[in-house]
Amino acid sequence: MDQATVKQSRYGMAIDLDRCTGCGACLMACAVENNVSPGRPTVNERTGTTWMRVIEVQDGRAFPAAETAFIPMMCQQCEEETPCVSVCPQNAVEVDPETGIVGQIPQRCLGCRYCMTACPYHARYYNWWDPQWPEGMEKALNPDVAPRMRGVVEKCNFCHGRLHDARAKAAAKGSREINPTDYIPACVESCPVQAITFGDLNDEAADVARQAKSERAFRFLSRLGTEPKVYYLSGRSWVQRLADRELARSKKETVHG
Amino acid sequence: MPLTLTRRDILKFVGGSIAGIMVTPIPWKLLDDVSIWTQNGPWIPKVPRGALTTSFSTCALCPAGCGVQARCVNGIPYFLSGTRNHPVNNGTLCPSGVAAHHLAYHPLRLKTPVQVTRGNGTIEVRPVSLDDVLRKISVASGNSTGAKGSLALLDQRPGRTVSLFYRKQLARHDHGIYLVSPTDPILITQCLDEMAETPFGPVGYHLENVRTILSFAAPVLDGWGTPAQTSPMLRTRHSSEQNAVKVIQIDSRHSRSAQLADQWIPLKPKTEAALAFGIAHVIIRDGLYDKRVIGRRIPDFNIPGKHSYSDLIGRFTPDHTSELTGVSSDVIVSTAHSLVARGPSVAIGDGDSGGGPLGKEAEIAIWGLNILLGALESNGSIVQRREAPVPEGFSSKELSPVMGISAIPDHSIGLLLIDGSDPGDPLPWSLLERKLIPRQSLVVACSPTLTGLAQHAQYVVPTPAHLEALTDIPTIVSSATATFSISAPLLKRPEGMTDAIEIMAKVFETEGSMEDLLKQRTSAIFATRRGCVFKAGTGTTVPITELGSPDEFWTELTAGGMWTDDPIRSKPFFQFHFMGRAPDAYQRMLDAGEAVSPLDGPLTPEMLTVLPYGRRAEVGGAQLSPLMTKLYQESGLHRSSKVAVLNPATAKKFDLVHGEQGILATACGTQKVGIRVDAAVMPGVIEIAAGPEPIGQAGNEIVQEQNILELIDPDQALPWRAFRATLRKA
Repeated sequence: MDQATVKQSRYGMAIDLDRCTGCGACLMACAVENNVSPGRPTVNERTGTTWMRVIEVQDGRAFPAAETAFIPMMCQQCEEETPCVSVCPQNAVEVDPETGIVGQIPQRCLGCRYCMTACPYHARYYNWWDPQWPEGMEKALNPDVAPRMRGVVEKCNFCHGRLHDARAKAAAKGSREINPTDYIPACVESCPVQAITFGDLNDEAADVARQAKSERAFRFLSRLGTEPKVYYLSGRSWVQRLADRELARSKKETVHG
Repeated sequence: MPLTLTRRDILKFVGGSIAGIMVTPIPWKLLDDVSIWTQNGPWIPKVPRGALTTSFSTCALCPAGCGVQARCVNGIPYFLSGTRNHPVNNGTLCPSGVAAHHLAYHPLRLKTPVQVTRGNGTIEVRPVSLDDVLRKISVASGNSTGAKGSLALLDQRPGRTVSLFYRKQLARHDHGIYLVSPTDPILITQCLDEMAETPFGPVGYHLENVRTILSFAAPVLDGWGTPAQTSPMLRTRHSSEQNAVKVIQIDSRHSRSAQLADQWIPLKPKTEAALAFGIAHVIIRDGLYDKRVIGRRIPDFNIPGKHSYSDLIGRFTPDHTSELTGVSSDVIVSTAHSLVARGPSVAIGDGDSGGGPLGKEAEIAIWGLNILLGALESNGSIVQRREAPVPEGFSSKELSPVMGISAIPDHSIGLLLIDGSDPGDPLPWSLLERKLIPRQSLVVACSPTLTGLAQHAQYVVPTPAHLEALTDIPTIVSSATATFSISAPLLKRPEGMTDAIEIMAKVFETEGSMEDLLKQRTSAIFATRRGCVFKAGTGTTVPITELGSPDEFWTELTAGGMWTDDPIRSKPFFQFHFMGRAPDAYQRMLDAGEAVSPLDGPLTPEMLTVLPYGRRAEVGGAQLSPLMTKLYQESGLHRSSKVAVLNPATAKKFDLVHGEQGILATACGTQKVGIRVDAAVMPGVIEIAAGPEPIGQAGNEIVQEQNILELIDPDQALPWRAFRATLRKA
């Protein structure tokens, strides 16, 4: 594509933690959209593949004063010194210069899992098994997303299939700029309380760019200098203080504020 | 010099070659390729190819009836989202709804009718023919006379048009019983009817008029109302908006609604009636109610020389209520004042799916609070609404009455039919089992899977799965006006599936087809020319008068549309008996208020109080997509029925450790559970979900569900919100 004539985007998200109810609709929509296979009966938080997880956290106070928040956690789309990119020996992770999206290329991945170790957000998942669905359910797979094979790492890519769709729509209209309403990731579409806003952080008119500059906005582990493009919003000080903490993967390792 | 090759030279050459080749890319490339060959093969599913289309329908997984937009490939849905502008869900879906198109492929789906034989800890499942099942039913039905027991039909999704059909047929049967779960809104409304001089009828809520909601353990923010009602409340949580709705959740459990509410008031289990009386006491004591309205409306408010409501309430001072409920007297007083100062306010009871009903007296106490708060006045937030019109021949006089489990004598049912096509609220099997005639009764279930109550039946007939069946969605309890929508099939049903209505029609020796029945209903609604119709395709709402014919109305409804009735403009004048009209009302209400919580009851040191809970549409195992392992096992965001949650202090006292396995035991059985520690849980209790147990992709064998509701002692009176059990290390 002609770089000179295409606007460079920095796709990002703003997630309002004061709105999130922990319903899990985003998590399910993500798995459905991206053809993530169901876990085996013995699957757990360490062996499962869930591109997006919603982590329940409490403020550390005891009954009956305990307060709860829910934190959707997925690939934070780091912009600088992207840890997974720098450690991958196969060049299977790359940052798309046109969109800022960190992509994972399963065909190149050899399954060494260095990227999983390097990711400070625990947002990468390894396919321990061949992807399998109950008999007949493969007819209900998303035709735009290929299932990944056993032995590779995968993660959130801001619903890349939908980006391709939006580009195809734009191309059909003779345009090279996609319509922002044509590219909405599944988690954003499914959130019942509109807690997730998605868009181009370079576009100052976009809601996501405005929210990213809000006083309530913060990013997780920003001290690492990786410049993640997923922003979180909360007016609760104890939730904001979690930003410097490394969040565990599940409720089983509850993080207290 | 002749070249002589010794065996040693050859070995050296081969050895050197092998060693040398290891530093070339050849073996590693080969290894990589072999690895790739084993990773990719015909066993990796191919994504479907074909025409992409969009279809609309209505979700039937729970009573809300959300509009569904399905993106399809080759006509098969692959992604579900909420229908834009739909009055119920306005473009959103819950996690169960998002993955609902997977239910047709559930590994536990039954393919043929089966006979289930239970042994000592074993379960044998044998395929049988539908004719065999019908013959068994015919014999048992013939025996179901007064001498040999009644014929009961348990409807797990009451209020549908087919429910009217069942009630009509049962009314013709000499000993027919129409049975529903105790948490059904019909039974809850009966409590209000017991208070009113004339039947109040169906109840609805104008939540958009409310500034404060006082929820007595109802899942107000987690499935009680429609997404369109609760989303605005959830969006304004933690905001400083003056007009934002404030939700006060009264709940012994740290439920999702308790987590999301503006204020959580934990109380001792089973003391909801006492707290309702305590709040009413403060409102009356401090003169915070409209005396003219109460004087006109409430005959039993103050009766000289007789026990009256004011006598009853007078006993529940804040201090006494605090002793009973564990809620501080300051909180009781401030809550009462807040409800009045921050009106309009409404109190909601209703119970919940897994936790069960609050109990009749507690519901009456809550309705009394609503009358004091003015919620039932003409400008109040609780409204009387009409039912959606019904076809001729289905008037209430021609229908069998709706009965709860407690109204049925023990050992009286000879034939129990279960319509579990759309599993709704659960019912502990132990409560149902004691109503059956021992060793002589027959239980037949119509269900897509052998889960929930169906696993206790002797015969199970497979019914179409979600999105394969044609069914209607009755009005949800929270709606201020009657609504009607149709869940039209988006998937072709497999061979061998039978609609429950076809089985029941054969049992009652009559004709019955779901499509005919629903067409009659839509024609009856259309004939009134009342209300408006939401069109899913355009996302617009038009008056029904704009539609030319019942066929056009049917077409809109089966394409994801929805009918909404006109509101009733004026509310007739009602008089209410605050304590109900039963002769022993005062004593019953007093006993309910003074009831000792299981937490305070006589206990052996090792006993804990179990608080079951469950989210609507997720309580039955068959209701969940196999992909739900993401939500339960892989993220731990929702807790399955295999996880018992305790306060850290309770766990320490009982020597239980987070992450270990434990055995939960009552007199009725045991269940293995994982132990989780959560500082937000009330000390002395165990919170455990009544379902589901998600089933992974390999779980395609018939399994016997273990559910906390299976451990309930039938000798313990309803409701089952709290019961005693032991928990020890496995």
